[in-house]
Amino acid sequence: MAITKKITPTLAALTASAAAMPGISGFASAASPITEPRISISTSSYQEQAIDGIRTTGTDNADRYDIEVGQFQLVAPMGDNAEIDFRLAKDRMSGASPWFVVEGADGEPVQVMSGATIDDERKDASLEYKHFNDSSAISVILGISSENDYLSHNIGVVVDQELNNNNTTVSVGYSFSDDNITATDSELFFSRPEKENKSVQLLSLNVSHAVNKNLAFQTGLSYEVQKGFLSDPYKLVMVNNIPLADSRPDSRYALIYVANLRQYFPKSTAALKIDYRYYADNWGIDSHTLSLIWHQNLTNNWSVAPMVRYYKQNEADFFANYLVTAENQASIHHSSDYRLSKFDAVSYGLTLTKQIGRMGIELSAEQYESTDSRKPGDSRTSPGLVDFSLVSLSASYEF
Amino acid sequence: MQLVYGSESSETSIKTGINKTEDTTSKTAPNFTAPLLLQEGSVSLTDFRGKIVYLDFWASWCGPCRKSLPAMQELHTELSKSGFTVVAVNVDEVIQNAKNFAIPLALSYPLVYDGNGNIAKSFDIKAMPMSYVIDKQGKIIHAHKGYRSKDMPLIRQALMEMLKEK
Amino acid sequence: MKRLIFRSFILMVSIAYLASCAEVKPWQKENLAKPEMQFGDQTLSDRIKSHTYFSKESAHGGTGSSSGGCGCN
Repeated sequence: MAITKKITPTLAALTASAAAMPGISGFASAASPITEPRISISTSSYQEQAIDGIRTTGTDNADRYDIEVGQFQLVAPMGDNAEIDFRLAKDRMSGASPWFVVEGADGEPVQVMSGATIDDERKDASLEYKHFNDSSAISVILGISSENDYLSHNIGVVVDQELNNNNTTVSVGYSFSDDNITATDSELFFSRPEKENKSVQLLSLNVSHAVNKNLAFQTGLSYEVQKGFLSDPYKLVMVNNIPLADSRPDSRYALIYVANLRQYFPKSTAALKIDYRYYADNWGIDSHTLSLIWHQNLTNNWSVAPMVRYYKQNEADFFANYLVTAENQASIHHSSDYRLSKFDAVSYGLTLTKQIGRMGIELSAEQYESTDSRKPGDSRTSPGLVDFSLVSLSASYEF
Repeated sequence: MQLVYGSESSETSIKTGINKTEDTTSKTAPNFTAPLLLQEGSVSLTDFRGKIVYLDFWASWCGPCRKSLPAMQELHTELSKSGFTVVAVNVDEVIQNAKNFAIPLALSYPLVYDGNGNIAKSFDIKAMPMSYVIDKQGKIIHAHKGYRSKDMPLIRQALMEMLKEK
Repeated sequence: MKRLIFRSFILMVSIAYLASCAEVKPWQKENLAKPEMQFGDQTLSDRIKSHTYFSKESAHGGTGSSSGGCGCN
């Protein structure tokens, strides 16, 4: 054993250092850092379709939002145990948005759009630093998002722990966002506050598990607390034909449960992705979301992935297209925001990817349609529901 | 410096499944005979008796393996004349993926194919990649989980020390 | 809501239990390592989709991406 004795110190040092080793690759999010830096760029075009003419009024041009989005991402290893993920996004939006709802001639609600075209720009930057240990990882995320009337700072921490020989990953995350709202033209509109603040805290627990070599499952529970000014400064509600400011409670508690599944089919070189989410909050909204993606790998490094998604929510307790009441209810919460109404939506899309050496190219298109299931006299659904299309072209390069 | 494998380092080194109570290190490496990945023929681990073997398990889908295979080539080039060899065991299910990955790297050490994972199983590997230093008597004296570039100088130093011994 | 917490808790416990019996070995993880088998938003287009849903729907969260607040909702 002379040999072993002599070489022991160096190898012992190695063996000890091997324990603090991130090289666990394969399943689960806590894996090792990426080996090569990667940059990605993407451009997206978002277009809302005009609302059916009989259900809208208030602007010559009923065009709703168009948004152009540019994104940049750099992911790079930092030594052997860490990686950074830097992102930049810039949105440029223009168009009219739903303002308030009035009763039409036939007694049905009619959406009034904002008269002036809104032009805004949003810039978003985030930096994530992720440090890997033997069987765990910790990420710290800092982000800022800025618009001319909105500024958000956020920070998040996520800890991933691998269990069962890296077949199970438990992730615990917390994030905090501090948002400031300075509504434009607040001196012109009584309903717009000059300066308001809101905070969002999110605590989440996720467990993912490799069930077998082709099947992975993830489930998670999150709790979110929003506090402060949660109303929309640009929306109004007609109460007895008097326009009042959108007014929502100053706190919102939500519970989010997710169950996601990934099944690989080796013979057809395809993967089925199923994501389900249940959401419930104390505003009376509960919602189900189910999305299915079939990711089909093809020859020559092509892949095609059709997607279908179903979304459903019921209305917030204080949602109303407009209110007609005997008393002055100005102090009560009310909102005509279509996003707080009862609706369901179906979207379908297709993503095409091609890998050329170290470069990846992706084209993704989606059409989203709020189902027009509103029945006459149904006051729980808004006439302002949105249909939109979203097309993205992205490229990434790995060094 | 008193260091006995199985005490201080037992917690940090990797245990095999063959004898759960015993440390992988300082125990005889399970022999195997496997086909070569890129050439005709097969090799056995015992063919390398008398040499120090750096046995590495890898797959084309394993990110860090992209770095570890070329790094081991450097070791092999430098030390193969002094009684050392790298042996890389591929565990890809589809052999063509392994070939497509390995051929451009122009590796000169033996690459063997373990498509059904039998060798990986007998070593009870705990990660991808995973490597073992096997001494001239065929005993595993070090198990290494994953790949970190900064470990390579240490591994090299340890191998040099071992090779100096008669 | 209480029932939901309870159900999800049961589900998580059962998964943790399942986890303790089945085991996928490191050399069997080729398919699980594929990008299409990962959870959460992977690409920039996934990210913009999530952001869009976030700004047009009441329900949000659960995609794993932490995205900052915006005046979009």
